[in-house]
Formats: sequence, C-alpha cells, structure tokens
Amino acid sequence: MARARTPKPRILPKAWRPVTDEITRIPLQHPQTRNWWICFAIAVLLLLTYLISAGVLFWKGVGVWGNNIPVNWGIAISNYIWWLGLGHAGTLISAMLLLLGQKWRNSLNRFAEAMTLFAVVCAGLYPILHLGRPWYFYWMAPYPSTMGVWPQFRSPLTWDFFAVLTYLIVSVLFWYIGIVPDLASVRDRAKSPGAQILYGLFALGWRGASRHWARWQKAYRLTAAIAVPLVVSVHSEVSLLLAAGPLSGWNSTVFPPYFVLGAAFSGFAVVAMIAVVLRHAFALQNLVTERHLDLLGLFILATGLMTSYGYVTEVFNALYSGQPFDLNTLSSRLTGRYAWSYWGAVVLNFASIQLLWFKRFRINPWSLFAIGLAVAVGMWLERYMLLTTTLYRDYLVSSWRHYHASFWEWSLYIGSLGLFFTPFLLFIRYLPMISSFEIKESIVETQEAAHG
Amino acid sequence: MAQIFTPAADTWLRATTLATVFLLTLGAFLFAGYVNSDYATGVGMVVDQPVPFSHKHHVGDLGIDCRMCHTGVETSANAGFPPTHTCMTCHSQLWTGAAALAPVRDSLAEDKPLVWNRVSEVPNYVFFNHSIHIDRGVPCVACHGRIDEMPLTQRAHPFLMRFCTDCHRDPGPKLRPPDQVTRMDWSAWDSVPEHRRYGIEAMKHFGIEPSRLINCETCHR
Amino acid sequence: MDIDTSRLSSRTGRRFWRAVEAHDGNLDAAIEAEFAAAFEGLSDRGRRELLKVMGASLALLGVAGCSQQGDVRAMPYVTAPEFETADNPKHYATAVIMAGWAQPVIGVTHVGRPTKLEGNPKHPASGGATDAFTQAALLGLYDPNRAQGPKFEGRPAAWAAFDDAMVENAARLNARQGEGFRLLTGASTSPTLARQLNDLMQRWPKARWHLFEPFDDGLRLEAARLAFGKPLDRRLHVDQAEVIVSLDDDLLGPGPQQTLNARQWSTRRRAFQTGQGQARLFVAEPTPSLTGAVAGDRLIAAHGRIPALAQALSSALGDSATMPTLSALEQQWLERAARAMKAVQGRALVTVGAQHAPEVQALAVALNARIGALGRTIAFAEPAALSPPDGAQSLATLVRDLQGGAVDTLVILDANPVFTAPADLGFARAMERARVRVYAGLHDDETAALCHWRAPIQHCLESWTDARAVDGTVSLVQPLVRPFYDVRSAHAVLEAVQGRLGASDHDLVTQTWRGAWGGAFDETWRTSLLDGFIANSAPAEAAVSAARVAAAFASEAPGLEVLFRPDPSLWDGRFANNAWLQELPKPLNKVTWDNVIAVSPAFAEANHIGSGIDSGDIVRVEAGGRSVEGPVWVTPGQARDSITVFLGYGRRLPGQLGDGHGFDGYPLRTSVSPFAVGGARLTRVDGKRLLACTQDHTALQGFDFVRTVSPDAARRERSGPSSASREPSLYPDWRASSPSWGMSVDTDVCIGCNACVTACDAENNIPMVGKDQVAKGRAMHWLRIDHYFEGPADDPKLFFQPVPCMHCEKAPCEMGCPVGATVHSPDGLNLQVYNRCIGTRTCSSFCPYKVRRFNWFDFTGKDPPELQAARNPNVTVRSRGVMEKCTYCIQRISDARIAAELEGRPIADGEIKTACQQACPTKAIVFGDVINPESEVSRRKRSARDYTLLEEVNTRPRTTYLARIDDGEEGEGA
Repeated sequence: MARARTPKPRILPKAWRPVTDEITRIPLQHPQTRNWWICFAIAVLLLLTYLISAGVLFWKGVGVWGNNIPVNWGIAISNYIWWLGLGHAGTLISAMLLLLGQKWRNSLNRFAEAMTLFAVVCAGLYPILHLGRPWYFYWMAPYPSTMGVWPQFRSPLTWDFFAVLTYLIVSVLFWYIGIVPDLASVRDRAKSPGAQILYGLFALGWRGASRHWARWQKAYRLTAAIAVPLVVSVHSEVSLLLAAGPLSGWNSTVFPPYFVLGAAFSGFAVVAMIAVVLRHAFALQNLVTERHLDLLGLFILATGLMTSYGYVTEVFNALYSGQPFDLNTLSSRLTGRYAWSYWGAVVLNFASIQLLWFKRFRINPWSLFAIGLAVAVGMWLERYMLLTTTLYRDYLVSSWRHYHASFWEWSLYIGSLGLFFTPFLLFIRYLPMISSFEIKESIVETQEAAHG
Repeated sequence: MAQIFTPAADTWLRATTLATVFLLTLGAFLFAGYVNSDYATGVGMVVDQPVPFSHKHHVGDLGIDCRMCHTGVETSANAGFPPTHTCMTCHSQLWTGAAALAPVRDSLAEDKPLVWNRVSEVPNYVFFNHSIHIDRGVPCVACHGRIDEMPLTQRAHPFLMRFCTDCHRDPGPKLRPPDQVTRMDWSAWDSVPEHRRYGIEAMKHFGIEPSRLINCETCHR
Repeated sequence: MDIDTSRLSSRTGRRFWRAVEAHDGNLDAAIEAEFAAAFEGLSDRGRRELLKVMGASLALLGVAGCSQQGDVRAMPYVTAPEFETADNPKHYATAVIMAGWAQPVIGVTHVGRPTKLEGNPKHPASGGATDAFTQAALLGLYDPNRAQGPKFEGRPAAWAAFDDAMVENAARLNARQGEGFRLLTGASTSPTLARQLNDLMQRWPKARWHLFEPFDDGLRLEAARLAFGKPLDRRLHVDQAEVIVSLDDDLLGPGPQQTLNARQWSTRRRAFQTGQGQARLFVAEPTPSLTGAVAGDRLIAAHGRIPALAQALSSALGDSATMPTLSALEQQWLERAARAMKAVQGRALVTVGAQHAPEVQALAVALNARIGALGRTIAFAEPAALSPPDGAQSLATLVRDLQGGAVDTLVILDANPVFTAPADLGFARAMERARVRVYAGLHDDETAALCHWRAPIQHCLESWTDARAVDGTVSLVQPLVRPFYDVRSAHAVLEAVQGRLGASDHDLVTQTWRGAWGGAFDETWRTSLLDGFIANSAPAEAAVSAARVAAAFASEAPGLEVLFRPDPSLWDGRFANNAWLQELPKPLNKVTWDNVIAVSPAFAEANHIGSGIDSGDIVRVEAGGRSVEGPVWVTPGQARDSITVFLGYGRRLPGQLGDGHGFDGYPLRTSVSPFAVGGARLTRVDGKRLLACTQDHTALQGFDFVRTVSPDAARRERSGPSSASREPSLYPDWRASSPSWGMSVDTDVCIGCNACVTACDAENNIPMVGKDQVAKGRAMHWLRIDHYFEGPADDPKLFFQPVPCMHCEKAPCEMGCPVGATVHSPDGLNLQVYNRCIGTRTCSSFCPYKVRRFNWFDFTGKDPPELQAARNPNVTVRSRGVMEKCTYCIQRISDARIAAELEGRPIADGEIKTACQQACPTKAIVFGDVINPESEVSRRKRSARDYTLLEEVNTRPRTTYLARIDDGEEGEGA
C-alpha cells in the first residue's frame, strides 16, 4: 500500500508513445492465453446451460418455472431489471463523462461500454423468454399486420420494448464508432494477413487522416449526446412496468429515479470489479491507476447513497399514507417470508458502501472489488424483493400465495452469466479493451497544457 | 509495409453495405407481398370435392336460391350444408344415372354423409353468425363472390381479419335490401344516385354503430 | 360362447375365490391383481396421461369438439332430423339421479352432444336451480373411465355371453322359486324399479331384495315411526320458517335436499331483507357446515351434546322433560333460540340432523307439533324412496345370509358396498360366498373387482328411467344422447338377470306409466316429457295427529368423538372419477383432490406439546379397535372434542382418475355407530401430506372484503346512484350506454355451495389441471368462492364471497397489456382476446383481485375425444401460454343480443342469465343492465348494503356485493 499513500496519484502515464503498443499487443499476442482459455471454457459451459434451460422452457411452457397466480413474475423479470441496470454504467461513463470532458474516463470507457452491450443483451432476452407464447413476441412491435391491429400504446411494456431496443442500437453504434481508430492501429500492427484483413475490414479503411478525425469527432459526440438521455429513459420505463400497476409497493412516483440511480449504482460496481480484474490480469496499472479506482469508489458511494434514499422514501411513503395495504406490504417486506431479500439488500447496498468514505478502501483493488461484488449481489436482491414481496401478498387475503423459483429459473439465470461472459471474454481477447488513442490524446493535451 | 487492401476496397465496402440494406428492404416487401397474395390466402383456388358441384349451373343457370340448400343461413350461425336428401329431391328424377352423382346416391344408399371440403372456412377463434348478417342485408356475394359464375366453387375473398374489419368499420356501402340478399349481380346498384343514400339510411334504421362493430368481442370470445 | 351353469359355478366361481384367498384376504392386493390385466402398461396415473390412454381407445363420436384447428371438413346429414337447423342448441327436460333422488335439469345439446345441464325452472322442487353434483353429472356422462363393455372375470366379454349365462342361471333359479337369488341396490325412488321388483318377487317369491345407501334418511323414517307409528318422509317448508333452530342438521349442506332447502331458505331470507318478518337461523353443531356458516347465531356443540340441547329446548318451550345441565354458553344460546321461537310461535322450525338417534329427532318432531309448526313449516308424507323388506337391517341381513351360504346368486345394482359398507359387517369377504356374482354399475369399481360378471349400465343422461325429486314429484328421465359405450340400462340388466331378454329401457318405463295412466297415457306422457316431471305426482302430505312425545333419554358423554360426513365434493365416493368435483375446492377448507380429518384449533394447540399438529400432518384416528390414517386439517369453528372424518376418498380404482386420492375413512365406520363414534384417540404419526388448497389464508385479518350491516341499516335505500367509487381518475370515462352489464352478488344468501363454480366449469370449458398444479397455485376456475373467518379461531364467524372478474370500468389490466389482448367492450365487459394474448401476464400482475387465470402448460390439447365432445362449442378452448378469465358468459350475451336484433327488440331484463347465476339455488347472483334503473341488478345496487370490493383502488368494478345482514344477538328488534 506504499503507493496508495502518495498524495496525488497520476491519472495517466508520462509518455504517450508506448500506450498504443501496450494496449494493442493484447489482441495480437495475448499474455494470459492459458487463464483465458480456462475462463472461456467455463463461460461457454454456462452459455450451454442457458441454451438448454431456454430450450426446455420453449418446449414445455412457462409452467416449468415456479410462477403462479398471484406471483406471475418471478426472478425472470427481476433478472431483466438487474441486467439492464448493469448495462447503464457503460453509457453513463463514456457518453456523459465524454460530454463533460472528464479525461480520466478514457481508461475505462471501452470495456465499460462492452460490458453494457452484453448486459443489455442478457436483459433484453428475458422479457421474450418469460412470455407465454414467445413465438409471438414481435406483436409488441408496430408493423402493418394482416390483422390490421397495433400494439397498445398505453402499456409500459410497449414503451419498454422501444426503449430497450433503442438503447441497444445506440450503445452498439457508440461503442463501434469509438473503437474504429483502435481497430485501425491493431490492423497496422497485425502480423498475420488473416488478422490484418479482419481488423482491416472492421476498421472501415481508417487512415487517420485529419478529415477522418474531424468527422469521427462529430459522429462520436453526436451519438454520445443521443445516448445520455437514453440512460435515464430506459430504466424509467422499466420502473413503470411496476409503478404503473395499482399494487401497493409498486405504485409510487419515486420509482423512476429510484430505478435509474440503482441501475447506475450496480453498473459502477460491476465496472469497478472488471477494472480491478483487468488491470491486475494485464498489468495495466499505469493506465487504470489508483486514481481511477478512487473515482469509481466515489461514484459507487454517491449513487449508492441516492439509492438508499429510495429505500427510505419507500418506508416513509408507506407509513405516511397509512393505507392498510401499503403498511401490509411494508411489513411483509421487513418481516415476511422474503425479508431476507430486503435486509440483504439493505446490508449489501447501504452498509457495505460506508467503507468507501475512506480513501484507503477506495484505492485498494481488493476492497473495491469486494464492495463491488457486494453491491452487485445486493442490487439483485433488491430487484427480487421489489418483485416478489409486492406480488405474493397483494390485496385480497384469499389470493396470497408463496413463490419458489424452480430449478429451470435458476439454471437460466446462471446460464445468462455465460451469455454475458462468453462475448466479454472474446472482447478482451480480440479487441483493444482500452481506448489507446483517446488516452494519448489526453496525455498530449495535458502535456501541452503543462508546457503552456 | 505492404498494402493489405486495394484502393477499391473502400468502394466495395460501401457497395456491399448498400446492397445489404437494399436486399433486406426488398425481402421485407416480398414477404409482405406473399402474406397478402392470393396464393397465401387461398383466394381463387379450387378445392377438390367428392362431387364436382357447379354453383354456376345451379345458381347461375337454374336460378336456384341459396336458401334452398343452405337452410340455416337465416336462422343460425352456420349456413349449413344440404343433407344428401336435399340433393336427391331433384336428382332422384334428373341425371339419375350420372356417374358424377354416384357419391350422392351412395351416400343416401349407405347412409354415409358426403364429406365436402370447406371453401369459405371461418378462421380460428372467430365466431361468425350468418343470420344477423343476412338480416341486416349483407348480400351473400359480399363475402362469397359471384358464386353464380363459379363452375367449381372457390374462395372469392381473403378471409383475413382485415377483410372483416374493413366492412365492420364502414358497413354502409356493403348493405343491400335484406329481401334481395341472395341476388348476385349488383353492378348496376351504385350507378343509381339514390342508392348511395341507402347504406346510410339502413345503418340508421338498424341502429348499426361501427364503433361497436369494430370491437374484438364482436367476433372473438 | 355358451357356458353351462356347472362350468360357471365350478370353474369361474371357485378359481376366483382362490384368487382372492391367495392374496390372504388382502383386498387391495386382490383388486390390484384383478385390474392388472385390464390396465396393463398404465403405470403412470397422472390425470392427463391416463385420459390420453383411455381416450385413445375410443373412436366414438365423429365430433372433434371445438379444437384449435378450424374444421376443414364438412359432413352434412344424409337425412336431416326434423326441425334441425344447423347448429342451434336444443333443450330437453330430464333429470340426473343423485343417491336415488331425481335432480331435475334441462339438458342442452349441440348437434347431438349434451354440453350443459341447466336447472328446470318449471320444476316445483328446484325452480331452475342446481347443485354442484348435478352440474358435474355432465362430465360423468363423458367420463372416459366408465366401464365400457361387459366383462367376465375381468376380461372383456360379449352381452350375448352375459345373456346366455343369465338365462342359464335364471332357469336354475326358476326351479327353486328364486331361492338364493339376492338383489342389492342403492337407494332408489324409481316407480319403474319398484314395479320391476314387484314382478321379481311374484316370479321368485323366495328371492330377496336388499338395499344399502351409505348416507340416507333411514334414521329420519325411524324417528317418524316413533312419532307417528309409521315411517313418513319429512317435508320441510323452510320458506315458511321465520325462526329455524337446527340441532346439527345441515339443511343447506351438500346432498339431494340442498337445492330445495337452499332455495326456500333464500326466499324467506329475501323477504326478511325487505322487512317482511324474520329469517333467523340458530345452529348448534360440532363441525362447521354450510348451514352453520350462514347462521346468525351459531353454537359449537359436540355431537354428544345435541340430545341434551334438544331436551333442554323442549323443556324451555314448556315440556315437562327434565332440564339437563348445560354450560353457560349453551344456556345463553338456548335462551336466545327459545325466545326467538316463542316470538313467532308456529312460524318456527326445530330440526335435528339425520345422523342423530331417532329418539332425539322424534323429540324435535314433537316439539314442532307443540309449537303448532306441524303443517306450516314441517309436514309429513308417504315415503318417496323404496324401502327394502328388512328396513335398516337390510344389508346386515344380506351379510348374515351370505355367511350362512344361503345366497346362490348375488346381483349388485348401482351400489358399491365393498367400498362403502360398514367395516364391521365384513361384506367383501362375505360376498365371496355367493356362487354367482353379477355387478351392474357405471364403473369398474371395488365391488366389480370381486364379481364374476360386470354388466356396465347406462348413465342417466343416456337412458330412459324415472325417479322422484326430494319433494316427491316424479321426473321422467329421457336420454339426451345415444350411449357411447357398450352399456345397458339398469332396468334392462335387472330383467336380464331374471333371464328375460330384449326389454328396452323405454319399453320398461312406458309400461310402468301405461299401467298408471291407462287411456290418458299418450297425452300425459308427452306433457310430462316436455315439462320434465309428472304434474302433481308427489305423495300428498299426510294429515298426522299431534305426535306423542318420545321417552326421555340419556345423552352420553363420549370423550373424543369421531364424526363421519360425506365428502362435500365426492359424496360417498361415487364421484371419484369426476375431475370437476375432484378439483372443486371444498367449501370450508378449499382443499382439492384430497379429504381431511378436521380438528379444532384448540385441539391442535393442545396437542402441540410433543407431537404438534398442523394442517397436512398425518394422524392416526383410533376408535372401537379400528383405525385410519389421514392428513389433519385445523378447522376454525370445530368443536374441541369432535374430529370429523370425511368419507368417499381413498378409492381403489387402478388406472382410473379417482384412484388413490386421499384416504379411506370407511374402515372406521361401523353399522352400530355409522355417523359418530365416541372414545376415540388421535395420535400423530410420521409424515405430512401436501394438500392442494386453493386458498392459503382464510383469516380476514381486519380487512373489510366481506361486510356486515344491522337489519335496519340494510333496509335503507342508498342516496347515491351506485356504490361504484367516483374518485377522480386519469382515464376518461366510458360512454355509458344501455345495455351496460353488471353483476350483484348477495353475500347475505350465498351459502358457498359451489354450484356456480361447477356451472362455470361446464359452461366455459374450464380445464382441470390436477393436484400438483393446484398445489402450485395454478387452479383455473374463473369463479372462485373465497372463504373467510373472523374473530377467535375457536368460535369464528364464517363468510363466503364468490369472486368472478370484477369487470372494472377503470381496469388496470387493460392499461397493462402491450398487445391490446385485454379490452373493454362498449357494453362494459372487460374481455380477454385469447388469440391476441402473448402471455406477458402483466394484466394478472396488475389485477388487484387476482381473478385472471393463466395456461401455464397446454392444459387442453391432449384431452381425449370424449372430453372434447363435452365442450361448449360457443366458447374458445384456450391454448398454452394465454391468459383467461370470467367473461360474464359473453357467449350467452352475444346469442341473446343477436336474437334480440333479429327480432328488432331490446334485450329484456333477466333474458341473459350467466351460468353461475342460473345454477345458484339462493339467487345470490344477479346479472343485468346497470343503466336501466328498472333492472333487478340496478335495484340491488341501489340497496344500502351494496358495496365495492377494494373500493380504495378506484377500479370501479361492475361486479359489486351486498353486505351480509347480522341478525344475530341484536337482531331481535328486526
């Protein structure tokens, strides 16, 4: 921890020349081949689990899950919300901080965006899987059908459908535009013709001409400008999926901000975890510095506290309304069958992040990783709690009933981790995981600024 | 360092991208075209029947009224197929030996029903009621086409939901005097100016509100 | 094939006994072995699998029902039947028979298929109402598990073979004037059967007829004999009784009497609601019953306390009989009851349950006589049911003769004594002594397994017969459809066993009535068929002299007592193969597919030390040296020292739907104490049984889902137009145009009898999902009856609340659906468009009433042909992955609307009856146009008792409730 005590940790390395080599060598001669293959094998196995679980689901019907009346939605939907939440940090970090001119983002944005993409994919598939008749999912899309009927535009689900789709597309665009120049530099350093052609194709003939750079700047910032509001809209939409219903515990105006902040919160947590792992695995300490960890820690702390505010509001609203049903929901959250999910969320999301008040824990990779993990799990519990505790004891006493996730629900969830890690591992294996040119750019800028 | 790509590469890249977009759009249009095509909706296709029954002959030439055979049409949901007995009321006298009618005679002899293949088949999940349509003056021809010109019966319109809803949205123009529902040729109707008002008047008289007709539960239960 | 008697007796007979003995008297094993052959390769007994197998074996009925596939083939008649127009349903008046009693119905048929049974409005007894059993009889007709052809020694045989064998046998018996011929039947009221029995006795004077019915009025007749010197049927006029004191008599409970009593009681109750007199109900009972649940003043009293209470009531009303010692609670209850009775004098009724000693019942009769109720609220008439020579001893006599080897040929007609006979008689082992055993019944059941010949009989919906309704009126039973299976009418079989062949059921029945009517036959026959009953055919009420008071008697104090009750869904077990009844939540515990042992919360609590009893725990009940084991159900309102065992489950029907559900309680039941036995012990044994219950929580917990008002408050008219909350809403109001459909459910007269639920099952093609799915919370009933209790668990108030879809005007479900599959119709229905639904289940998540049901699997696709044929063709059969729910029977609305439009008239009020409304014996449900102020439903919604379920959610439901009137203690003034 000696370096931890240095008063001003540098954000960036001194010299910009080695940066590109340092980053682009990874796709070309991978340093961690063996470990990578091990991870990849595990990920693929999980992916297989996912496919099997989905297959069984399609073959037999949603009945293979543990859902019932009243608990129509189980961990399928809570996972959807959770995954989508993770998918927020990426865009938030890259797009928003880009527009705010926060240079330090450059070391994080690339893999954060990749993480976003894959998380959104994992999320986006859940609503389709949970349908009773998944083969008709496209009826949610507006298109001129022979039936002459359209989606029902008052429904939050319809808007969900649009929001998630838009978010996915924009994220892909943003990420790809961002990576083009680096693909070019990989192409230029590639030895094997195969690699050259492959990277070359995706580099879209990037030659680094000033004209290219000018247009690239425009395109990149424009997409960023589009992406930022989406961050807010997507999870607000998702929150309406619950808040639009008349059920106590859902029907609350705090939900949109509560969900968005919770999403960012979990997102930052996961970014922090990934950052820690990557910088350790690929010795990128001089690119992803303690300063970065420090900042990430601060973000987690901030968003975490805002999320906790949501918890407080929920309790307050219930007590303030004095509605028997609201109080009933509150009590079943605090003391009911699924209280573990509530208290688990409180401990992991609120208690754990208190450590981040201390810089020591922020810049220490291990503690940061641990806290990130705690938050990721905590947020999962929170989503689960929101879903279940409201449904299993809704209005009429006669329809109260418990819910237990079945084997196939769990296997699908575990599998979805494979759906996430498989492409992510491919990404860190074959693509420049950090935006080298942006780092160089900012190094140069800072140096020029220093020379004045 | 050797060139990886020829100077034309960029052009090719752009070309292929454009081509892909174009092909996708084209595909979409082709698909849309298909689902609406007669081929997909079975319009104009002749279904083979145990007996080559000719509506053209019976309706067009002999002028037999639809209700002679399809007795249920005014009183119940289904128009109904005629019992073999009905066929034989005439064919015990006419064409008694005709080979084509053998199945009909056998049916009566062996007391085995004729197995017809439906031509105008109501789609799944739809509850259609003939009697009310007939009562309101929706002529047979509106859905079944010029049956009197069909030597072999075929579907005249695509029984897509849109076909029903188009009329339910604005039944007026389709309505005819109920006492003439089985009339086939209405080509002259619209040329008479005062007929234009008939639809509106009829709607008023029967209290037909399209806003109600267009609701799901009108056909789906 | 022709078998001469010697071969029959020697080969078949003996070898069969050996077969049983070989199993060392283990009956179950014997039956298993017996059936093994018949049901080879049928290891999986899952409902669906089973039905598939059974169905596969059948190519009957060219009808595919209303399947998912549009039918591309059209098969017109060769010669159309008269008056046949395409597909319009036809109605036939007939009756189904329950424990010998006729339940009048109108059978609805579509192109020859019976698809629904509706009450017969003309009938004096039912007045158009039905009970759950009657509704479910339809499924009984289509039951794929029915015996489908004659069998000899468990192997399929031909009727010809049966006839030959019977002729041979009859020849033998003729020689001996029928000596050794015994006929055992279940209860019957059929005049034709009576005539046949007379013939039989004349031909074979030495033959003998025996009768056994597990739950009948035997003790009632005995009581009447004590009171009047001759057995008489009791005829209650509940609608005349302003005060009813029921001592453990479940007047409104399941059984043949239910429809009549419930209807009459509700008539009185409704009169009371409008201020005409009272309708007070005092009930003292050991185990909660439907009657107790609706009683204004309920006393929990053990079975053993009933005699004392009867005596006390008698002396409280001025009889010299000694006043027995009562507890404080009993005393107070008794005083209230007596006071109420005195207030109304002759317009009161005292009644004692048929399961109590004749003396006690006779005392009640005397009491009624004294207060001048005789002839007003209660009357007596010649018995309608056929009574066997040996009366109550009938079965005992048969067993004695069997054991004595006096029985040569035993014919069992429509009864299942091997399963239901009192355990102490040892009927199963005794009947093995008969040389020729013939079984004629609907199913290959436990008794059939021990008989040489099985002659399957026709269901009452496919044969000609006759029977009396509980009021004595005769119904002519005409077939709605030709038999699907190779079966014969019971009458024909009875002829055949006498060696008389070729008689058709139609002939036999007409013969009876030709004799009775002579010249007027044709006319009377026709009108009776059209009406569904023979006018004024009920035995006149006998003018009985004031009864003499029965001798005083000692009431025993039995310690822990076990009560035997028929199962509310399966009765004595006869409906075990009926999926609708198996999956019907029992009114007071909402358990399906199982029976339970009811114990009081206090008892369970007390036994918590060590053992610890919760619902579902397996316990052993021992009494009189016998014992049974079954799952316990902690039942609020149960007497501390009474435990109730529900009979009818634990059937042994290998390969059939009803096999192996629940436990068999009959082994505990003896001929000495058939209804209650004292000195019992209950011990916990290891294990817990998962009970598929449709309602996990029944404590009201202070919510106001069900409401009660005082009698005078009830009579006020409300000021506002309707109860529907008018708080502001973000959504625009619907254009209120007539008709706008709505429903009103009167919780004051709902007795929770489940008739509506079963009617809904039949009308709307509700799929049955089996125990596992119900346990998972996936039952599909569109209409459920919520059951709540309020107050201390040991003396609670019990409530029923039918909950269909509320058809909200501001329906959250409509807003939630992304594809517009749930929509609002201009006449105010909230509807589900199955073919548009993609199954997001948002609607159900948003529904505050949780009335929507989801097809978690494909529940309908694999149904066998019979069940498909039973479906209502006017209702879509829902496929996997779609949501469904109550539609207010939109198919009925559409039909009525089209009919009205064709005739150019508005739809009349009451023209449309929903299936549930139609079946309800108490008219608790009313459906109609809420815009028309004159409609019945509008009138109800104007009542001060009208309230909205979950008003605070502001969904503005079209279904509202009428609060229950509490005329308990403070009801006196009313």
